[in-house]
Amino acid sequence: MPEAPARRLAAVRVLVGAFALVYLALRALHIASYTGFPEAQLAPIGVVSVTGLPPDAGVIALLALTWLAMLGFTLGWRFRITGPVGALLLLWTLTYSSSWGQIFHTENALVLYALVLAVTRSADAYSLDARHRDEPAPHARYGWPLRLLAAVLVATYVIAGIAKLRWGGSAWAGGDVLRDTIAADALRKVLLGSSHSPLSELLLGQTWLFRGLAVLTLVVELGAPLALLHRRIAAVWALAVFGFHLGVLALMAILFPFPLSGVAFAPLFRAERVIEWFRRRWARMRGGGAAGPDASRAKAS
Amino acid sequence: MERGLAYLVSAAVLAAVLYPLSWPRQRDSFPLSNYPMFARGRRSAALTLIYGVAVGPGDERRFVPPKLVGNREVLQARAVFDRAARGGRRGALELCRAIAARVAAGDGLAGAHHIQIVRGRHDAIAYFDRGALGREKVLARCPVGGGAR
Repeated sequence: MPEAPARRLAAVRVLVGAFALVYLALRALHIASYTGFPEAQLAPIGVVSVTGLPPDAGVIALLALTWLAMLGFTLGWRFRITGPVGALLLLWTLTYSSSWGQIFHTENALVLYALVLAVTRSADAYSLDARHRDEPAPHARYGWPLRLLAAVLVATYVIAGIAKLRWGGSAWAGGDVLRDTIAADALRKVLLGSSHSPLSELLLGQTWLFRGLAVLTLVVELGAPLALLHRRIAAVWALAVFGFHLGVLALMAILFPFPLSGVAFAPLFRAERVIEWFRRRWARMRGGGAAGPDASRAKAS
Repeated sequence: MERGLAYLVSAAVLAAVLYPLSWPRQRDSFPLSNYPMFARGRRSAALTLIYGVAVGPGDERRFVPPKLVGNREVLQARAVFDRAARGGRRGALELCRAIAARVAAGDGLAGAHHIQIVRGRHDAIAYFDRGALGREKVLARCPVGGGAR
C-alpha cells in the first residue's frame, strides 16, 4: 500500500471542503428554489427516495446545517462527527436538487470525495483537531484514500466513455453524433429561453473539427486509468480533462465547476503544496516570514 | 486489521461507483451514475421539445426563460415542461397558467399577452444554418392576466 504524508490527504480534505462551502453558498438560492416546486414535479432519486422530503423549512434548515457541517469538515473540527455528518448532508442536499426530474451530473465526484474523506484519517493534519499534535509520520493510512479518490475520479470518466460507445456505438467517434448533440443542445437552450454558446453556432459547419473532438473525448475518458500509473501521466491527463471541460464550456455553455476548479485532480498530486503556498502567502501578508513546519525546514536548508 | 479495512472500503467504493455500468440507459441516479449525457446515439440533429412561447403585440414571439418555469436551470425547465406535457392538455394548461401568472406579476416577458405551451420538432442544423424552425403544435394557450382559453 502506498504511503503518503498526513498533510497530503488533509490538503485534499481542505480543498474539497472549501470547494463545497463556496459551491453551496453560490447554489443556495438554486437549491432552495425547489421548495417552491409542486410536489407533482418530485422524482426522488438516491437517498432522497429513501428519506422522503421534510417540510420546506426543514429543507432550508438542512441546507444551512450542510454548510455548517462542511465548515467543520473543512476546518477539521471534531472531524469524527463533522466529517461523516457533513458528507452525508452534502449527499442529501445535492441529491435533493437532482430529485425534480433532472439529474445534474456536475456534482457526483464532489460528493463521492466527501464521503471517502469522511471515513479516513484526513484530519490528522491541517485541522483544528490536530493543532496541538505533532504531524504523524507518512503512513499507508494516508496513502490508500488518495489512491481510492484518484481511482474514483478516473472511474467516472471511464464510465462516461463507455456510455458513449455503448449507446452511441463506434459511430460516436466519427464526430457527427457529437456535432448533432451540440447542435441540438444549443437549439434546446434557444427554445427554452436560455443562452447558448455562439462558438458552437460558428463551428457547426466544421465537421472535421467534431471528428477530432470526438476522438479526443474518447481518448481522454477511456484512457483515464493511465493517470494512475505515474504522476507525470496524471499531469498530462489532468490537463487534457481540464481542456475537455473548457471545451464543453465554450461549445455548450455547460460548466463543470469541480474539475475546472482543479480540486477534482488534487488526489493525483502533492496537494499539500497548495496549502503550503497559501500559508506562506498568509504569513507574508501578516508581515512574517515562512510559517509552519516548512519554515524550520526552509531555514535548515 | 487497518490494511484489511482499507482494502474493504476501497473495494466497496469502487464497486459502487462502477455498478451503474450494469444499468440500462434509461436508469440514472446520484451520486452513482452511468453518465448518459452526450451518450445518446443520435442519427441527426432533430430535436423534439416542449417549451413555452410568449406572444406579444404584432404576434411577436419570445421563448419563455427557465426562471418563469421553475428556476434558472435550463434542463430543469425542460423537465418541468416534459412533466406538464405528460399530463395532457390539463397538465399543459396548468403550467401555462402558472407561467402567465408570473408574467402578469412582472417577473419577465413584459408586454406578452398570451402564453403557449408548444411541442416542436426541429432540425438544429437547419435552424443554425437558415434560421428555420420546424413544426410546432400548440398544447395549451392562456392569456396573461386573464382567464384560461
